[in-house]
Amino acid sequence: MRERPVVRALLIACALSLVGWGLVDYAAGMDANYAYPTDRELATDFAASHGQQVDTWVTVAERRDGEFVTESGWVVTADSLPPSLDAGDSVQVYGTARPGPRIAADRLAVTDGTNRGFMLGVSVCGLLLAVGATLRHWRPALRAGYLVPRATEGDGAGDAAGEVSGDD
Amino acid sequence: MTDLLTHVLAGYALATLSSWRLDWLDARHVPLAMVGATIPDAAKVYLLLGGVRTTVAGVEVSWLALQTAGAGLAFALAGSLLVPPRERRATLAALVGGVALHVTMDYFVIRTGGLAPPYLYPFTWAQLPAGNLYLSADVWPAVVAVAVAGLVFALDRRRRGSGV
Repeated sequence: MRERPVVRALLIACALSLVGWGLVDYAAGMDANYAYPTDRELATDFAASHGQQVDTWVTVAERRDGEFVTESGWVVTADSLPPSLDAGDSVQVYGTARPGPRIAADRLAVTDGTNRGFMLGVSVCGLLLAVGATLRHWRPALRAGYLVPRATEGDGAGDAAGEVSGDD
Repeated sequence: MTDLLTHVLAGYALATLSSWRLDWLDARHVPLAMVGATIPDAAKVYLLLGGVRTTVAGVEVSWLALQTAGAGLAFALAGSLLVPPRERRATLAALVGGVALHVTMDYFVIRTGGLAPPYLYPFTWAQLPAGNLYLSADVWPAVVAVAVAGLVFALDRRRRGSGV
């Protein structure tokens, strides 16, 4: 039995609607369900987290002796700071929120700005690789609204392209 | 999250190895697993939008939901409907496999608080212990992924050349 394009389109729309619902529900539930205060909770009312364990990402604005200041104006203190820590670095901080506002860090994980650039660069390469490999094996059959295997396949695709009625 | 290249190459390696064992999984489905491995990184759109939360048409949304199993499965389902019915089973398996691999690898990212984000949302909000193996921006996971994918590629070409 041939598939009806309208039914298929509706099913796709339903699946994407589930994603949309998830975006809204996740936003609504983050603050209540996360194990640690969220970034928004810390930003809007840091004092409410005084004495609590927090786990957050910050960006270094200034390094000082034994501490650094974040772009949000928080002071993060630690027993020892990584020697390479510098302004502009992204840092994961786990510690105790204190008045100041300050965080007494128990653990830090620093992402150097150069490494972040590397990550973005290779990520673009990865995306191009996935898309390119897909287009090497599949092509759009626009009239039928399918992606079909390319007919030159030697791996059992056979004449899959021809099975699609209304192929372009 | 690990860089996307590492995820894509891991998807390639796992799908290729699986295709050696599973009759219904062919070479043309391997790139679909690679695409599946990119899906959770759709959450990185927040880097362009300036924050993990945005208001769209008066409704607040969190882009972090895109990195979860639920969103990945929904996208995989939608993607499987883009191929002819005879390709759908293998396509869905490849996409879901790629998503699952990505989420699993993300559990090994270093979290100073010891807990990974709730990647299994919406099935649960539970934040499982993080594996604390690598930072997202570490280089060595990509080096390992390139080496493993290269080895799998060479072995796969040898298999195809020998007609296995």
